[in-house]
Amino acid sequence: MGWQKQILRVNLTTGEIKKEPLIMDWAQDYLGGRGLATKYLWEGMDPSTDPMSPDNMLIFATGPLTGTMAATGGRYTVVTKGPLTNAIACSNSGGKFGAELKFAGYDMLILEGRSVKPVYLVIIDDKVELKDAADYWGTTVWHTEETLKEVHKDPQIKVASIGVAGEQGVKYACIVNDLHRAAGRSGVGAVMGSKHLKAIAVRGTQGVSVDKPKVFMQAATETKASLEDDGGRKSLTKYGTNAMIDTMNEFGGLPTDNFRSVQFEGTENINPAAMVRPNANGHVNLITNKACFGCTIACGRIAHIDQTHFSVRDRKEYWHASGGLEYETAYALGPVVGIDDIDALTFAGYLMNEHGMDPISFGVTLAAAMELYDLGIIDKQTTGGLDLSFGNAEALTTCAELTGKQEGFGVELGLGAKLLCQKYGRPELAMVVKGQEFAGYDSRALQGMGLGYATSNRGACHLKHDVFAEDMDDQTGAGKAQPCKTSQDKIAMVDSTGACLFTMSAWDTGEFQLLVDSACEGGSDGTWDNERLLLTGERIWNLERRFNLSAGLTRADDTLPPRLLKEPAPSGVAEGRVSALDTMLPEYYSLRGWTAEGVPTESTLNRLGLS
Amino acid sequence: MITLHLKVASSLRDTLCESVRESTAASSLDESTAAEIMQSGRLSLQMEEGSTPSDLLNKLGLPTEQRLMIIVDGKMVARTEYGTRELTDGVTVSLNPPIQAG
Amino acid sequence: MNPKQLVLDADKCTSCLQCEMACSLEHEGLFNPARSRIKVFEFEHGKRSIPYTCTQCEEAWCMKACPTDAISINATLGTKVVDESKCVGCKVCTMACPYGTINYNSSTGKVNKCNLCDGDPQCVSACPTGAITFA
Repeated sequence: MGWQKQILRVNLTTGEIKKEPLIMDWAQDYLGGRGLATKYLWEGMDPSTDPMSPDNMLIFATGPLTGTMAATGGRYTVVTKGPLTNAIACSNSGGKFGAELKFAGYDMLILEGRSVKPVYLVIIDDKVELKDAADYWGTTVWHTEETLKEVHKDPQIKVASIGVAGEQGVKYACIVNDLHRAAGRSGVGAVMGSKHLKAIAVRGTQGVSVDKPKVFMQAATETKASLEDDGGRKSLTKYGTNAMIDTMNEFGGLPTDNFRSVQFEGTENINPAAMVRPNANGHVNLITNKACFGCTIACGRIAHIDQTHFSVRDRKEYWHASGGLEYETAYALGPVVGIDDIDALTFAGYLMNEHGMDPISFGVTLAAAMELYDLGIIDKQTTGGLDLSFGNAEALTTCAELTGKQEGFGVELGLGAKLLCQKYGRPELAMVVKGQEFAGYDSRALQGMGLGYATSNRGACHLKHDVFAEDMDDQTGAGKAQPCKTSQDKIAMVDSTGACLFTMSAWDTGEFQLLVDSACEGGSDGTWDNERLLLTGERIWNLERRFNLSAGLTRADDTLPPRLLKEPAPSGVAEGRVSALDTMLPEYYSLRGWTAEGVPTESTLNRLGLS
Repeated sequence: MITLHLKVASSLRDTLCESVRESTAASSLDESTAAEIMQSGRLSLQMEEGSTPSDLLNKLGLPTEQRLMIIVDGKMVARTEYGTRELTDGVTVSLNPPIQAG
Repeated sequence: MNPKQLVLDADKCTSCLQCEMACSLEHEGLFNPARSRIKVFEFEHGKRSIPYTCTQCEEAWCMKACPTDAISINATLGTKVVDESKCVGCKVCTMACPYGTINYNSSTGKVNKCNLCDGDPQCVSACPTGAITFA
């Protein structure tokens, strides 16, 4: 158990809805979530498929810990081929949607084909229906979610949906669930839009069982306690992920003005202290913190905007509370575009959730546009009259809305940084790997992070490896390949359990062994011990890599933009340094058992059971 | 005596102020100073000549076992040097929690 | 002395639903918030999360309304307890309860309510923030 042992397959072209038994042999090799969905994608689809074609598969996958009492056991992952990267996409989300899907009786939901007209999917336990979405198409995520709960007369229904950005194929559209949680990256929302699927509404009342309940509860209780005592956890609860912004700024790793700088003067206006400091009107940005399903950390922030702020002064509909600044939203709507107006950042964050867009990719795309504007390559004629100077808060909120509604210059911003910069003949200004925009860590100060960005299977991403400790201690490329590889494998495993990777400040593989082994039967391999869990992670990483290689990606895609490879860091602890990717990458390939071209060797594939 | 200019990350300010209230070791810090730390993260502090980052953490009552990141005038201080590196008059000492994913 | 009661502090609730899982595990043998006796309600886009369950009213309307006398008082704990062998699933108690904290369970055909886990409420130890205490 741990698994519901049933998946739901919906063909949007034919309207066929099928319940299938979960292929347990695959579950025993890939666990669930990210790994298991990758296996289904690999077996079910040609990797060279156009991401926006009906042949692309869109998979929502829970893990064996999803919907259990394991702390943070509420995650689901969306796996598909991403339109932003033309590589495998795997976007993880919290909130309550994932657990609800599992409670309805499914480990996974696979969507194939394309509906002729817009539809939404309703899953009430074993009753599953496609319904006409004409009333919702063209509306926002927030409107869709709230209306679906009303129409189906159940406030407990959980909804994952897309906004106009997803409908219109914005390259970094995301799928938003529970109003402010998202499967955010790589454009999974655009894939959903290409299938003419507006939303998935789910209600589950079946419950979830585990294999050895008593042992599991002991493990869940022990691991909850160790998480509770952890300093990293305490900081996440109290300050949220934005606790990192001061540290990154001091370190000189906070990308500013499209990575021209690595330190931002306005940090003190958007950091956790600013979130609780009353402004001149006595308004305090932060209201409270909030948990995803089963989460004993509760790093989520609930904030509100000063009603006198220019962005919402005449728009009462935005005076309510909603998801507040996290580190990545603060960075991508702040320093990287040179803006330190906390209300403008918060409002732009609202718009990202409301319209279903990834704030990281949006912010870095806007930063690229601002640099093009600064260089005189684009001007007010191109932007429809907008002054895209770095630091212009009105440009941020206006562009966020235009992009969300796909109007005016927002259509160009919807291309993502890579295509936008290509269009204007300056591809080197796009701060991306494999077409996906960087998170808020500069690869010159955090060398191991740079290697992780370059090798991440879904393009630039800060959540697929963890080399922070090594990067803090040493600002060279030495000794970064091994922890990068090991943590990539470990996180691939964690992402496949249904728990959140933020537990890893307190937990290591041993804690996952306790939880997974008591939640799941072991199959012919016996117990889920440390070694098996790590091997599972490595297998997942290599299968993702194989998908990308088959999709046409090569060693040349494992790189960083010239700015990080050639322009020295202008300040900070790594002042004068560039990324040492050229020395780290060959070491990394060798540790992985890959050829010099980054292809897994036959013996590596054999070792992982992938040949 | 030397003067140190401290710059404290948001997420350390509470801890610091708490230890200021509880610790007699840091009796040179009063309540209004604590309020100032909360607001701006800035604080100037007198210490004996020859003081090290470890001495500073002790004076502030901050846990030395935590992987705090200390940056002096923009340069990283290796953790192995916390007990030996002498802080000089007028430097800016930035105190930060360890880096983790966000 | 009054028996101990559940004290619910909405200001501390983060809506993680650990309480709902602990409750359903205790009473139903699996993790199933839909069958939990304690519920967390969210308001205003996540601004407020409010845990809620049976208050064990002194003047218990569910008990008075029950036509088969299936609900009785546990003298030690002060809880109102459903005797499943007497409950016929008529749902009159669910209508009588002013708080909506006694509910029909379609899988058993009986009603469910909080019984304070016979004096060791599992939601209390499951809550990570101290929003639920037993005092």
